[in-house]
Amino acid sequence: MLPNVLLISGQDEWTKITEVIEHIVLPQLEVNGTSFLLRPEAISSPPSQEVVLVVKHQTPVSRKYVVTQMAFLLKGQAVVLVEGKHKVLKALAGILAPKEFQIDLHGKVGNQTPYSEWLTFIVTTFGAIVTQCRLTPQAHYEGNCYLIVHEGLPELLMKEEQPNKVTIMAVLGLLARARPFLPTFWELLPTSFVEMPPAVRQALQFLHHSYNRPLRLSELAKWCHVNHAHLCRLFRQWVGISPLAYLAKLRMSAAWKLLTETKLPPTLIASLVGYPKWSQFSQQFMRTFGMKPTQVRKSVALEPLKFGDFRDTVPN
Amino acid sequence: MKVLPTVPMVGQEAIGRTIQNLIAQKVIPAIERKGARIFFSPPTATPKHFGFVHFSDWGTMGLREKPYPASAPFFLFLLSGEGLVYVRENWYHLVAGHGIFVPHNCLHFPHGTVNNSVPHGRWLWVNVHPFGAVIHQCCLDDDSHFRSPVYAVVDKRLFWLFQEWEKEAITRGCPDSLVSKSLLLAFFHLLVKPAPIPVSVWAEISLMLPELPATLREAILRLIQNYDAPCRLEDVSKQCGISVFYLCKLFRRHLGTNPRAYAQRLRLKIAKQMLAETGVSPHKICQLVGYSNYNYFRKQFQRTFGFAPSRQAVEHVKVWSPNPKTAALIDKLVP
Repeated sequence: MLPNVLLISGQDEWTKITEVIEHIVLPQLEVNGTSFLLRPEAISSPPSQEVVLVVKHQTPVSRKYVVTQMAFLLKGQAVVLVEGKHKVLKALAGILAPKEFQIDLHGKVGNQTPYSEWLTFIVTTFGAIVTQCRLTPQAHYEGNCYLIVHEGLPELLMKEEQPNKVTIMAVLGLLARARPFLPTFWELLPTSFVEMPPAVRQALQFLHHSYNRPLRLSELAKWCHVNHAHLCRLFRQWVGISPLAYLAKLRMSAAWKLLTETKLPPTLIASLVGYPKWSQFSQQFMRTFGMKPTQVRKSVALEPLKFGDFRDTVPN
Repeated sequence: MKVLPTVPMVGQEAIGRTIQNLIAQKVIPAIERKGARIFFSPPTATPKHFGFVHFSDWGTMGLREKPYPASAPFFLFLLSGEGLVYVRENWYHLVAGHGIFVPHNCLHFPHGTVNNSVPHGRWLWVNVHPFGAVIHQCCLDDDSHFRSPVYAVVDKRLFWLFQEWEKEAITRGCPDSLVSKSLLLAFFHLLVKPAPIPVSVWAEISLMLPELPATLREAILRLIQNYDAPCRLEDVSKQCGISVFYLCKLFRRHLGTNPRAYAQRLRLKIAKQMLAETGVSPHKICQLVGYSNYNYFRKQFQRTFGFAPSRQAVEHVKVWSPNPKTAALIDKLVP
């Protein structure tokens, strides 16, 4: 198994993704139809022993929320595994599968790990999740995970048995114009950020980018190239609290934002901000804000959708 | 300038399904070829001797003699012939295969004249509303303004897609982009899927909908959307996420009837409306609303309304007979 490395880059990463959708994927769909999108039926090679999984593909949300999974191979070559069967894909191909299928994008045959760049879309019951990743022989680089909250998006796909060209084009077109929900909370950064030692700066950047993933202190320390005890000491000295307390603060801010600005169920919000366990989340929430997550939802009193009223739920 | 009477269009071409076929055969291929550009034609110079075709409109029960604001955003598409449209102080000369998009509240007038001559053409209207879309067809010639019954296509995804398209094409100002094209294509593809229902039936149903529980609302919408095909209770309840038993209970508690009887009454109402407005034969209407056996349909119709379907049809065909001369003229204009 290869290590999973997080890609931390500039803030305009989403713009790049939308450009890829608009200038590479959409024209491809318009000209060729859905023929370049593989359906699970098309992958019929007998299961073979020599295909090894390089990195395990993880869905950021629980499977019950998933409607359809899509992935596009932008560059390179890849060995994909669908339900144990494998297929070799060349650049500008893709996969489209309903939620029942287990898809693994990163496999290898023999000793060679092929280079590949992927753009994956998971249409969920509340909107969509868009991620970008790259596989090299050294590591698996994972980009940010963008959350798009939109009720109409899954509705377009849910009523279709076999999504056709027009539906997929519309879904991608909408994604290209959507405003993703990824609060980086740069405004919460301490004002003395520029004067801090590089290790603390790197740690802060890392936390702001990937607070929604399960994280260990040792991972963070490894990323900053310092010992974890030393990082903790530095962090306390410069920021005032421990890295994990800072992480909890970020997660809570994101949870608050999602609770008050969207209509997502609180249990889903817990898993989206990085708490797989609800009890852990609500405990932390209670400690931070002094009230239960469900109480917040009630106090905000988001009106339920009225009939015929189709407001946009994407936060500003 | 004389006032042109608005005459109901009768026969096969007045049926909602025919209008949807026209969209599938003419509008969608046009968008596929040229993108959203077909709804953004360049304006022409103001003609020298221009005027408006005065016509009475039985949709609004008034005389149309000057530009009026659009009550809902709409797409206007010219199926055949030619036409002169006035939109927000500009004149647009349209030829077959082109159309125009008119935003909400925009002053417009669909039928202009040059040198007192009426341009002959066949138009398609698609109004966008929060519950879906409202479509109808109209023809213009020297003697009359023909108008088909107005049909509603109930699917709220339509409104949502339209809003996104408007954001892209109007607010961002890129009607030519691929995103705009794919959204518009998806909009028109959705428009031809569910069976269209006569507007007055929909108006009656939509009044009581907001007060019902969400699951029941969903079930009624499913029944409406599939009124032209036999539908099984198991499928409806499955799509709403409740059991058949609970679905029946909801129907009985809130509407005092069972789903099957409700669906049947709905079909008969639609059939009655179509008979009264389109003048299509009762046998054809019987198939259109999802009955395979005409005798059974006639029996149920008689039981519900107290008279036979054929009687309803005959009364109106007498009043609304088309002018064969003008119909032939419009056919000639088809390129």
